[in-house]
Amino acid sequence: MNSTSQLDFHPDAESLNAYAEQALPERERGQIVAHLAVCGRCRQVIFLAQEAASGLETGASAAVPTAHSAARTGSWLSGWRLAWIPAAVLAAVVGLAVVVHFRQPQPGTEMARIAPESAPLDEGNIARPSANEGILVQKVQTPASPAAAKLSERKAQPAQVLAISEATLGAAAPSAAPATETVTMAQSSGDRSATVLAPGAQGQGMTSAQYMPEPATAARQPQHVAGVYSSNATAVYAPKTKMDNMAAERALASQKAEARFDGAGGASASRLQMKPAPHSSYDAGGQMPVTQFEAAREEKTAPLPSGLAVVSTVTAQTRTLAIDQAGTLFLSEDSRSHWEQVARQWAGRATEVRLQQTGTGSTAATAGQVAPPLPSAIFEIVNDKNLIWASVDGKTWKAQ
Amino acid sequence: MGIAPPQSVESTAGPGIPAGSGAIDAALLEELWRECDAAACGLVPGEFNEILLRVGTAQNYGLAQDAIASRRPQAAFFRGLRLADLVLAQACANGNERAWEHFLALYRQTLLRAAIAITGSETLGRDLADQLYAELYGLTERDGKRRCPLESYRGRGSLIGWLRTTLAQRFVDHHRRSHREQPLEEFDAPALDPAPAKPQGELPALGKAIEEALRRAEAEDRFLLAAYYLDDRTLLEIAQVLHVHEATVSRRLRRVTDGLRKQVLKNLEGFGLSRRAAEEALGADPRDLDLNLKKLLQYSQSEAFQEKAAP
Repeated sequence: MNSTSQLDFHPDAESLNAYAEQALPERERGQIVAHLAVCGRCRQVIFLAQEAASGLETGASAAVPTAHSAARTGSWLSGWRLAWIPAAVLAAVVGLAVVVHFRQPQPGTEMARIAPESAPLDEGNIARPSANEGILVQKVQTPASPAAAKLSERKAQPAQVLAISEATLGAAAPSAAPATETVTMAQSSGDRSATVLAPGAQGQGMTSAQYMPEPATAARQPQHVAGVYSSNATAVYAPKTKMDNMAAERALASQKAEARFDGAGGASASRLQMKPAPHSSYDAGGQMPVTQFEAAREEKTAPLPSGLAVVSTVTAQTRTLAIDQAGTLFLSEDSRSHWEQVARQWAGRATEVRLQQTGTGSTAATAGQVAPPLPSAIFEIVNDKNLIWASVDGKTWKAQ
Repeated sequence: MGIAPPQSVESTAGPGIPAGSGAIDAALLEELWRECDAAACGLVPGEFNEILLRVGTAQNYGLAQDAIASRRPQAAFFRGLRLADLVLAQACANGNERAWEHFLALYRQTLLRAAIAITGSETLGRDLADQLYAELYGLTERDGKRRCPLESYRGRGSLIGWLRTTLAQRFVDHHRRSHREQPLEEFDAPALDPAPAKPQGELPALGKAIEEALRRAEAEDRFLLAAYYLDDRTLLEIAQVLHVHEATVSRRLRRVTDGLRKQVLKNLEGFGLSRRAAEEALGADPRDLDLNLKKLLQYSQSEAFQEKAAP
């Protein structure tokens, strides 16, 4: 036994390596450890060799393992390595479940948009609308879907979707080419009536009609246009008798749209689109994106004095008429900023308000044909017995 | 691949062969030949048998000096070794060219990468690897005899591990030698501290108590303390050397330091201090203590090893 503070003798590489590889018998291992405890040089050697070994995926693994080393390496730790496999699988399953759970769509915040078949759009023109080319704004209120109905009830006003389509008017457009219209579909939970407002490019006024999202002819097949359901010139003016069908069809369309939003709709809902079309939805005047326009419009719109939800509404220029759930008619002459109640001059309960073009007597139109914009409009009220009253200013009503 | 062992071996093969006779069971020899793929090293059966005999008789097949090795102890002995590596190393040490080709094909790139990893420099790594190659090839002679370090490989660990350890030894020895040769002007010697005040109170007792506690510590505990506190090794590095988890090293270190603290307290109490005074003494500023922990930790009462560090 030599007490050595200055070590001159060291274990050879064979012993140090065998110690590092745990190939030494216990007695010899103790000697090596005792030496390592006092010898910085051998500690450095063994750590450097270990660093080089751990930093390399080398042919060391190719060396033939002996039974001795196999017994050494088969320590308790090797058994636990197998336990990592089910643990990793379990962790993956839990992670997947969490991801799926948090990716569930938020109900009640999505709206479907239906685009009936229309003439192909020139997106280039849409992106750069020009008044000279007759580009107009087409404004479509979405059909009533459960989500949209909830939203409209909460906000007490309809949601709106704007779309732009291109058309040529007058001499610039062939007679077969449909005129572009601004379509405003009256939105309410119970009534599916709609109004089509078609101001001319020259500001000739508006026309009014009921809107039917599912055209009867092949030409009215819904078409997805830039993410918005635009009716363009093929907007259908459905008579009152078709309202029930419209409601059913819209409900179906809304369901399909929601199914698509859930990611389960697949190809069957290919005609439904929820994404906004920022590049194609502009107000003709200010070129404001749809979402901004809607937001601005919703901010400006004052609720009805009755506090009830709107059942039917129609707008002509700055004059707006609205019927609430109680059948009361309200008039706004400042773009819905202020409402005043109109005295009851009709029998029964008013269920719908709409526009009637002068001289036509009806706003119904067939596919591919759009009533030309007329200089003035007549408001109509339909009661629960399908009787009609008409008014020019919205205040004085006469039976038809 | 079968072999026909030399007649002398075959005739003496069989169970219960005296180890001293240098015979290896023929069937075992054939099995080992196949397992080692000795033919790839360019060996012939006679050379293979000679290598195994030399290795086996040098350690008496792992038995006591005067014991007789039968087939079973011989098989256990050889199967406890990295026999393929051992045969290759011995064949290279014997100057077998085909064995050298095999060696270079197996280890050249690995050895170079290990040298670069050890030195931390590609240039130094290449130099170190080339130097070791020259040494392994037997270019160095001692007393007029060709000397190959591979002769010292006994097959207890892997050959690549042995090569890495040898590289590390060469590098550390070279570094320590060149470090001693560093010119004095490159040292930026710190200003000397003012002479420490003469320790007062319980400080001398504290120093003695620490010395005593460290002397009594287990070798493995001192290895842990030295590696962690003196060498600044990380828990991961220590864990890799000890083949345990980092958390195990951490727990052991905590246990060792807690044990040392208790032992120091106990020693202080043995010097006549009260428990409270002993605990207060442990709160002394370590800078007030005149202790060389490195010297204390490296105090050795173990046997000296036979290999001398490279000068």
